[in-house]
Amino acid sequence: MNVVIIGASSGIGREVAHVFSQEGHNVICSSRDEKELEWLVSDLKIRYDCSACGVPVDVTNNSSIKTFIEKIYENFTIIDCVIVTTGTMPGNEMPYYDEHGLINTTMTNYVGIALILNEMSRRMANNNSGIIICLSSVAGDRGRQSNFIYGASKSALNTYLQGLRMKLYKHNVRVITVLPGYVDTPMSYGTVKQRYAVSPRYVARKIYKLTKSNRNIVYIPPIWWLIMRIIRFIPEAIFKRLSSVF
Amino acid sequence: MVKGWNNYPAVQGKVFRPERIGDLVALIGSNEKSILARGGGTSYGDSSINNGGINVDTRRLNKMLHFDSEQGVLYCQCGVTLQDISRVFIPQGWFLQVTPGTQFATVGGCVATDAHGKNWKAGSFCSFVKGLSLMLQDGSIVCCDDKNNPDIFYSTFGGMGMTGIILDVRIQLRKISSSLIDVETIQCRDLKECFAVQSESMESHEYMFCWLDSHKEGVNMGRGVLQRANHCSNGPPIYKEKRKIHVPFYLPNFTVNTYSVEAFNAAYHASVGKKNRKKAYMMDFFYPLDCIANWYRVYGKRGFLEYQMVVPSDGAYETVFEILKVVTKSKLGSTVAAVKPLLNARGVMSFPMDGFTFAVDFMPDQRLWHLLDTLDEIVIANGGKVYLAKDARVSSKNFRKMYSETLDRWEPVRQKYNPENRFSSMMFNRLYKG
Repeated sequence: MNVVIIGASSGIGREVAHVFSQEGHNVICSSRDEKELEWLVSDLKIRYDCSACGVPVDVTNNSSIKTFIEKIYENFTIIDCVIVTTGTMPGNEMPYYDEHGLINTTMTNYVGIALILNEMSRRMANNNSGIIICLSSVAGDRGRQSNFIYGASKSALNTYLQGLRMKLYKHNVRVITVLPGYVDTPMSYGTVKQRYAVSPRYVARKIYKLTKSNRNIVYIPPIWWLIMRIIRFIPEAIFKRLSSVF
Repeated sequence: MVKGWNNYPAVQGKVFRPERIGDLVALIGSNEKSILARGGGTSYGDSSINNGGINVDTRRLNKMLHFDSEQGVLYCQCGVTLQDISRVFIPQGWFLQVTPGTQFATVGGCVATDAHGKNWKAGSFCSFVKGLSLMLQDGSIVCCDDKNNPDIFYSTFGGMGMTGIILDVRIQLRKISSSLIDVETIQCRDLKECFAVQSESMESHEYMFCWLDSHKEGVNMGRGVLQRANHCSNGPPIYKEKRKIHVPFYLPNFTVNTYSVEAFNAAYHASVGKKNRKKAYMMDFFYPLDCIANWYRVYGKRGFLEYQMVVPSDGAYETVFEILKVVTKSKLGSTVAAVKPLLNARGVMSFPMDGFTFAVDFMPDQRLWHLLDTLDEIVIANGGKVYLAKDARVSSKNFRKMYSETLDRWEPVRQKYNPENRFSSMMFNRLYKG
C-alpha cells in the first residue's frame, strides 16, 4: 500500500509511520520540518529496510498544500491510504480570546486538513478505492470551558469527516474518524493526563488494524466511547454549571 | 518525579521531553538557567537528576540517521536505546562492542558515563565512538572527533553531561555470526580462587565477570560464581523479544533484608554446581535482569544504593579483600555484588582504568553512610576511584582526591564550553560546590 502520513514527525504520526513501515508498506511521510523529515525517513529505512520517503508540507499554508499534493501525485499515481495525525492544541495559559491561537488552531486542525483531504479524496473517488483515517479528539464531542477553541476545531473536523464519509461511500472510499483519549505525546506531557495516557505505539497499532476494518468512528482506548456518551448525555442546562468539573 | 534506576534519591523536578531537535533549540534559547540531559534513567544515584532546573528526557530523540553496512558504523541520535540497536542490527549480524548490563540505557547516556560491561577486553563504550555532536550552552552545535575539537570530544566521555547535550553519536559495531554465547559458569570457594580463575581466563575469554556473596564471612569469604564466555561462531543471528515479568508495585521495604539476602546468596551459589558450560542466548547473557521489568521495586520505595569502585591491578586482590571484609561484616550488602577486570579508557573523566572493579548493592540503612565513607578511605589509599554513574553520596573532598589528576585536565575544557554552569546536575552540585 502507498500510505501518506501527515504530521509524521512527532507523537502519534511518527509511531504510525513506524508501524506501517514495519508491516511492509510504502510510507510517504510529511511534516513541516524538512530536516526532521529527512531523519525520520532514514530512521525508518534503517530499522525496517523499507522504501520510505518524505514530502514537506505546512498545513497552515494553502500554496504549500498545493505543491505537496502535486509532488505526491507526480511520484505516485495511486495513494491507497492517507492518515492525518497533525493537530495543535493551544496551551492552557493562552486565553480563549487570543487571536493568533484561534486562527492557528482552526487552520491546522480543520482548514488545512480539509484542504488536503478535499484534493486527495477527489482522486480516491475517481479511483473507486481508498482509505482516509483522520485523528480528531474526544474534545470535539462537547464544548467545555477549558479548551473549546481546540474542541470547536475538532468538532468542525468531525462534522466534515461525517459528510465526507457519506459522500464517498458509493465510491468505495472509507473514511474513519479516530478519537484518541489521553495519549503520551507532547500534547499531554507533564499534565495529569499523562498518568492515564496510552502509548502512541498502542494507538498506531490500533490505527493499523483499522485499515482492515469497516468501522467509522473509533475511540482509542474504547473506554472513551462510554465516557463521552455520559458527558454528552448531561443536559446543557446542567452542564453549563459544571465549570469546576470540566 | 525524577529518579535514578535505584530509586535513591528521588526528587521532584521539571522534565522536558523534546520530540525534535528544534524543541531543544527552543529550550536552550529560553532563559532556563540549569539544564541536564538524561537518557534511559538507568544510572544509579543522582547523576541523571537536575533538581534545580530542567531535566531533558532525550528518549524521543531516537532516530537512526545512517548505517554504513560495510564498516558497521551506526550514526544515530542520543536517545536510541541499546535495545533498539540489538533489535535492528542483530539480525543483520552486528552487535555492540561494549554493552552495560541493561539494554534500556541510551547511546547518549552510555557516552556520558563511558559505560563498561562484561566485555572487559574491548575497553569501554566510548572506545568505539568515532564522533559525536553536542549542543552547547548557547545553542550552537559542535561536531567533534579525535581530529576536530578533540578537547571536548574526550572530555565528553564520562563527562556526565557537563560539557553539553549529546545530540548524535557515530559508533562502531562489531560483526557477529551467531546470537548465541558459549558461557562457562564456575563456582569459586573464596576470593582468592575468584581472582585466580579470572586471571587464568583473561587470554581465552572475551567476556568475564564474577558474582560474589556479600555476606559470607570467614574462610569462604568472597565465594562466588564466575562466568566467562565467548561468542559462538555458528548459528544464525536472530533477535527474540523476551516475555517480561513485571513487578507491579513496590514491595515492602523489609523484603530485602539480611536473612532473605543470605538465603538467596547461598541458594544461588549452590545452584550453580562445580562447573558447567552451556550455550546462552545473547540477550539473556548480557541483560539478565531486564527480563524482570521494574525489578528495583523489590527493594521497596526507599530504593537502594550501589557502590562501585576500581583499583589498579597491582594490589587489587588485597584491596578488594579488605573492602569485602568490611562489607561482609556489616551485613548490609544485598544480593548483587560483582568483581571484574577493566582496561584503561580514553575519556578524560572515564571510570575504567587498568585494574579490577568491584561493585556491591546496599540496602539503605543508618549505618551505611559511615560504612561507605570507610570504603572511600580504602579506595583512595589504594589509588582507586568510584564510578560516578553509580554514586549518590561521595563527598566533594573525596571526589577531588579520587579524580585529582583527571580533573586538572577536564576542568579547563568544561569551563571553556560550559562557563556559566548552564549544564549541571544534582551530582555536579554535590561534588563541585559541596
